[in-house]
Amino acid sequence: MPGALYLDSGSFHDIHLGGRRVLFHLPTSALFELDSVGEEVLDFLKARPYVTSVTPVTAAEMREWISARSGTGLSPAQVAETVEDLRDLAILREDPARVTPAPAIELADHPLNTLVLSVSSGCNLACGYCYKEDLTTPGGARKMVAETARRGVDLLLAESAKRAEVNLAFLGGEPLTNLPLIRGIVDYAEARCATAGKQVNFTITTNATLLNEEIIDFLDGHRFGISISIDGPKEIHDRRRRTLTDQGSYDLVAAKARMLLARYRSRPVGARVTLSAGGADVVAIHSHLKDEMGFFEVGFAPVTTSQDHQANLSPAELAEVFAGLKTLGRRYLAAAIAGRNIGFANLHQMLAELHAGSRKALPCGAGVGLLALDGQGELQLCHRFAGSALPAFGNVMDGIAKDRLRHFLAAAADLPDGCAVCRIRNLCAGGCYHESYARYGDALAPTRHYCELMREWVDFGLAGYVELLDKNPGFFKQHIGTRRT
Amino acid sequence: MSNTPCACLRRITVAALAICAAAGPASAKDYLVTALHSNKLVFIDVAARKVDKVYPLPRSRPGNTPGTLVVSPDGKTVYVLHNHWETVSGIDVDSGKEVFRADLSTSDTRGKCTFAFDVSPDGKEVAIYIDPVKILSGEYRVLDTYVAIYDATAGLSAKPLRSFPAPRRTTLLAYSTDGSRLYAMSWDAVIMDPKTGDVLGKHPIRHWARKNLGEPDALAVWPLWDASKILSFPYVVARTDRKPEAPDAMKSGIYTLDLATDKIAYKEFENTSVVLFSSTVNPVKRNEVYTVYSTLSRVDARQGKLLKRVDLEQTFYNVNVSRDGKELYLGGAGPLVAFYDASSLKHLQTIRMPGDSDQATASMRLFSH
Amino acid sequence: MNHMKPLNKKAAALVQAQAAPAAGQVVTMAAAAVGCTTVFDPGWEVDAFGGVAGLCQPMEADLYGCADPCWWPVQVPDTLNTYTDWGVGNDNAARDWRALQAVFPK
Repeated sequence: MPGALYLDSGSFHDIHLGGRRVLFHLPTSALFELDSVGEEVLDFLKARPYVTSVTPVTAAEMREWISARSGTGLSPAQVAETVEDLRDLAILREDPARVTPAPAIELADHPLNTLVLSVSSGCNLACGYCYKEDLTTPGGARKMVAETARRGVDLLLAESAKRAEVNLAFLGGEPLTNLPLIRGIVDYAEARCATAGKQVNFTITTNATLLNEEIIDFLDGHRFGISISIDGPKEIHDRRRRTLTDQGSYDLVAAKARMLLARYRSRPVGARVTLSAGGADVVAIHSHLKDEMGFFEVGFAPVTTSQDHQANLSPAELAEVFAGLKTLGRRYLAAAIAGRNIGFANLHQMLAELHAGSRKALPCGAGVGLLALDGQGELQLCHRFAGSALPAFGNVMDGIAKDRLRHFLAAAADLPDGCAVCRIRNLCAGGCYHESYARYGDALAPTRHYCELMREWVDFGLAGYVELLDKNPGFFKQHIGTRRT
Repeated sequence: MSNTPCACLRRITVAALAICAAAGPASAKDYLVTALHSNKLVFIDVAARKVDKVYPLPRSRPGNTPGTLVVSPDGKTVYVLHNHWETVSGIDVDSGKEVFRADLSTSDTRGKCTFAFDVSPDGKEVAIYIDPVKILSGEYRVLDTYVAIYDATAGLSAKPLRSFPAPRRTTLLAYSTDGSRLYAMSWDAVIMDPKTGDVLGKHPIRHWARKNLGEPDALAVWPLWDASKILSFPYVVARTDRKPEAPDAMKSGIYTLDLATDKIAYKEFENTSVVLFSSTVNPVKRNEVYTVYSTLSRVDARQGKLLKRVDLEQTFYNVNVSRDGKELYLGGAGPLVAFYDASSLKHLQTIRMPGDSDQATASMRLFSH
Repeated sequence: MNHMKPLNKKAAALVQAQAAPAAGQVVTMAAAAVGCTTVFDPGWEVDAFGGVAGLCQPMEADLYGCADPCWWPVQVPDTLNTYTDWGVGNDNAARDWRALQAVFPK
């Protein structure tokens, strides 16, 4: 061991989990279990009040500690081995830890692979909390014309470099209000991709109200991944998901969803729930959608509207939501241990990321690999920004404004000081741009309103991950290994 | 000759009688039945050594050769596993019409029969071994294997009368000649009661635990016991008391299970030198077994001696033997069916299947009709 | 890693990157002569004795016999479930093998 070593306490997060000591290495998202020797050494290092990133532990101090512990079964060799392990991970370093600058995001390394087409600004519902800044009724809708959509597909293919597979997502407003465009673009995309030797994958998020058997069969025939926007049982769903004549939409949506679920064969169908004030009983919502209606999985997202909006979850409700996520999470884990996937998408996704050791410099793929196209032909970070006041990042005629985009992403990756030492910085990475934009008016402001809740949620996920790995490791291979992170 | 009506009548009657006498009562003939990659059932007149009838398989997706064939005891119906192992149909021999159909898959569960099905000796029940998997929206879920028993008269939408668990990796089902036992040839030969599914016993194959010998490697997928009612298959086994390079490190043998007496026997007859796929027991000289692949061999299975071996023009997967023990019938693999003399192994004739279609793993059965 | 056990793929990758390559133990399977080739063989090019005399004669006569029941898990398309049309119309492999096409996953 050299003369002195510095402990980079911001580079790891260790937790006690049911008799085991788990270490989450933040720079890599690698997860380790410490044995008793490793645990003792780490505790020693953490306990020394002056061993920090600027004051080292010296070889002399280590020797003193080892000899104080002699006779307890901890040998110098074992300590040396553990020090070696920690040095391999740069948790122990020969120089003081510095906050590492954010890695430069090379756009060329992230070719475009997904284009979200905002095919209409019109929607046949009037959900109270909708994030869409330019939302209109179907009558006043600005519909994307085929020419724009085709140029979008061309751009996607041109920018996709060597990617073997590209994704086209259809959103809106309500995308099914512009079905002719969707049909046309599906044909166009399939033909162009066949020539280009690429695979194309279609997805759609819809309120389900306009589905009929023929449309379902059309989607099935092209293997669309479908997400239905539905908020839960009738009393919850009808609070905010209202028709244009201010009726609740549940009866219609549920009937259409049941028809879809009975008929759809090519891919599992998911439910996408927006949690808003007064309707955030996560467990009840999941039970209704999964067990009673038969969706394959349910994903929850909190409402993202401006700070004053009545639909926003109050701090107390937000805490309640996270408590609900954990309750549902415990059910999910019990089922997973028994070999069943009960379709709780949020936790499932987190387990997949923990399993893979995903390390995110940015909160999502917006701008790197994914862009949205609105009816005007403008390119935005994602569908939520389509039609918003945030300046666009190019358009289909002139192409992607790569310098501006690169600049934005570099700023996004450069986390503010408060985030730089957070133990979940490589999983959260500042949070959803649109949430920040809606709440704070700034897409780059971190989502501070639930930092602590999010850290606890990740801890919950870590504990669940370790337990599941212990009790049913086969679950990962069967259900989690197959999910794309 | 008198021209009276009575005399005419007498002549006609005599003539009629003469015709009747010449024809005689309708006599049963021997047929071979096999199936083709082109998704057809082929009947071969054994005496004439000619293709007699060809039937297309009904409501059957092509692309995977039909597998096991089983003939009803009365010789009127041929049951065939087809449709990518997901359907067992009974085909009327005379008309080619489908008279029985068991579809093994449902809307959410894919059921396949891995060669193993049989018809009870009284012709009333069809036992089918099924390997199911549930197709969920995000995963496959492998379910337990089982035997389903169908009523042979259940028609075209046959559903099981009863079912019971059966061991995984079963590749043959065989009823005992009295119908009281159903053998499932898995890693070992498991004996079940076809009425209740109770396991009555087991004959070891993999677990035979013989001194200085390893576990036998056996491929029991062809039901070729039509003449002798003895189920047999060749096997290869390593000697654990020999170095791997020793000439007798690997031995070939024949394993027999008598479907009447329940007796088993196995004996090695040579150092492994050729590949052997299937075997059949001579019904008249029951110590003699014929085994085939790219050569045809006559083996004394009791003494463990190779008696004679000839090269074949092509590879044949299966060998069957006539009821009088005099003729051998080779089929399977390619598009040929060959006739051989059983004692001299002299080649008698070879015929080609319609369209020159390969037979692949279709089993070739012998029956009277 | 001496006192830290990997719990996820990233950790396993880190450990593997550091580990000295261990001398691998390769154990050959005793030649299984029943079924002319083992399921791991590249196809039906070589028999258990290292030659071709033990294979199906002609070797194409074996194609559907082996492909149909998925004897080779990788070397030919799975006609039982996934590529059910692969050999349709090409009923004599020795004559028609040229018409058989490679398949590509969707």
